[in-house]
Amino acid sequence: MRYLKILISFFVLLFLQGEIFSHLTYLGVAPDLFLVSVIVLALLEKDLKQTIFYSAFAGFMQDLASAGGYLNVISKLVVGVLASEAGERYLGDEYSLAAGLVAVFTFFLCLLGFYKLAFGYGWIVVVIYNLLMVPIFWPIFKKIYGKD
Amino acid sequence: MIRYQPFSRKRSYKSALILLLLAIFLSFSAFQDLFGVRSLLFSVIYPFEWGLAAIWKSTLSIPGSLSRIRNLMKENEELREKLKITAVNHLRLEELQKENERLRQILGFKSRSYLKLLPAEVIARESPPGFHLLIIDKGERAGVKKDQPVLVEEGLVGKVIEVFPFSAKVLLLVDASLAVAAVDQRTRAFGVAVGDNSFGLDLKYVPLTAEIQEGDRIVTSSLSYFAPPGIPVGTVTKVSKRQNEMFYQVKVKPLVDFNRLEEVFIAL
Repeated sequence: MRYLKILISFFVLLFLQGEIFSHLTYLGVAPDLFLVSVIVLALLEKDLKQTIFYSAFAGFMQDLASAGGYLNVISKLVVGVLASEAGERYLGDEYSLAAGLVAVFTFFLCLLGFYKLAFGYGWIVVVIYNLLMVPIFWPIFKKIYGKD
Repeated sequence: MIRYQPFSRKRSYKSALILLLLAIFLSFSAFQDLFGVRSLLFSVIYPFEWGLAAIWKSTLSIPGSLSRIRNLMKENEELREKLKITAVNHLRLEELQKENERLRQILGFKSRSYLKLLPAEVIARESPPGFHLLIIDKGERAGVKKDQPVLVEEGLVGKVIEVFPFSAKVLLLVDASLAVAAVDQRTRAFGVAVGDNSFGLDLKYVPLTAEIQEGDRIVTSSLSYFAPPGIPVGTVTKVSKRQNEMFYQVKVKPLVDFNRLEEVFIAL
């Protein structure tokens, strides 16, 4: 049942990203909901193998609706594994770790050119926008991805 | 004694690495479509996405529908009147078109065929952090093919980049990975319009010898590999030149509002 809930959540995210957040762009930038979901999922899902599967699937879903190759599979997979590792070692609360990881990974993905940005400081907008998604989606993701 | 651990982290790293290498290989190989699996999966997702989009659009339209019906009736009357006038003008244009074709024949020019347009509805879109993309509800079954231009009445929207049986992906003109050969309608100064990733365009490679100014209209050139010539692209908003550069820096504001696209036309 949990598998199904997670997979359905990716469908919904695809819809939210494509139908709603694409209209809520700021300076041409929209948030990456899949990145936030992969990080939260990696922190709540203790099993690395499951994290890898879900991260790759989330990236694949995003790539299906995107152009070109499988860059989202690559980025989400790496983010999922690293977030899971960070979660293993971190003793504080998961919410602050999720926010921190969203900021760090968004910055690095911008740096590596995974995001198409119109101007040099565009990464700040993406980081802030993605960070804003954490308090909004944390309780929802926790309910869907949590094991309890 | 150490026993077999079914979900050890070490094994998981191996599977992550395999998936990663596979994704890298597929991204840069000719098998991106995964032998049709990608198209098939997208066709499976399509009804859900279409359904959710339809529910969303109808939910949004409920509050204003009653007042809109009254407005629509009035608008309908006005449009009928306009249509009558347009029909007369259309006859004149047909005459001019025939005359133009005759003259082109006399001068030995190749005659230009007129566009056959297929209307399509936008069912989803993607904005950065990804590509500037639209997903439309017409695909292979409706005769859509890769690289066909997509337009609206205001001008060029983009081009079809991926086709599925019942849907297609359209890369918008404002995406930096799409370029279209364009000319200044007034002076015929040539350039290449490229998206700036921020819902604007840059007209590149306009030589300093060319004449171009703010307010000029930019249209597609006959050199464009996907768009027919003469389709409006945008209006010049800024022209500047830097020292030691051979070309102007030209900013173009697209005529199309890419955030409000709901219906588009594919030029077949």
